[in-house]
Amino acid sequence: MDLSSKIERDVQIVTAELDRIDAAVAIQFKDWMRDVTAGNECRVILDLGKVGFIDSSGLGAIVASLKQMPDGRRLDLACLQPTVEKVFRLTRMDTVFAIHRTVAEGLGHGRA
Amino acid sequence: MREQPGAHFHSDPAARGSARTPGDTGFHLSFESGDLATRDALKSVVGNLHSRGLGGELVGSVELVLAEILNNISEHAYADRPTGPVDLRMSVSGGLLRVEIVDQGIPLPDTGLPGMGDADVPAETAELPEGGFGWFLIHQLTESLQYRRDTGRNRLTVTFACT
Repeated sequence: MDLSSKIERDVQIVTAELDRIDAAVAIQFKDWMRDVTAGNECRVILDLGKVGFIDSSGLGAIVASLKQMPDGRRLDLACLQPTVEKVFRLTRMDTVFAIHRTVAEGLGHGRA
Repeated sequence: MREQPGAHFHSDPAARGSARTPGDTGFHLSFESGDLATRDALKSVVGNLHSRGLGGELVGSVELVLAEILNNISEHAYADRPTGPVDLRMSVSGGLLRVEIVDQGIPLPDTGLPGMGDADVPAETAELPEGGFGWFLIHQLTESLQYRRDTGRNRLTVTFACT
């Protein structure tokens, strides 16, 4: 699995340990996300800082990862590289996710 | 148009109209479709663009558009077989980067090129689309887009402004 995970301040931080989320890994990525987030109930921040390229399959896999989260459980994104951010912006999926510049910012964001 | 003896397209009269660019700055890849072949092809394209001194946002757009086109070929044009041949030709001329992608698979629907699609985002998470972004991105990121079906081949030509 090309994802790593840790819990910090009641938030699960999942880091994508791959440089591309494209058609070759999209289906696996969605399954990895389901497996890595199972058994927790806290908010998830997906750190995409190492990902330099996503295509529409990769975008679809991230949207699918959100849709498969149990009701009420949040999936936020952090550390989008410019090319990745552009795909979210053009498709308006940047309005669907809370997108944080850094994981630290994302951790602060969730605190009431 | 100028006659270019030996240019790639001259054996195919239907393609003449788009054979504007002589071969000396040309780049040609021939490969079997597939997810990993697509990755390799994109890597070669990006390497070639860098060697031409191009970079930044343009290269990002070209890589994404070609990824979408090549994914469509694997998934739809060659839906009835494991893989099929793909030809990719790229050239730069007059501030325009032009890429022609040819496959021998199933034609696009009679309606021709899929349109921009719908960028409206549903309010309900469960209603969010997980696909259909491909053609939308291709339209958004290209200067022009042309599709032609001839002699059993799909020919898609995209251009990008490169100043």
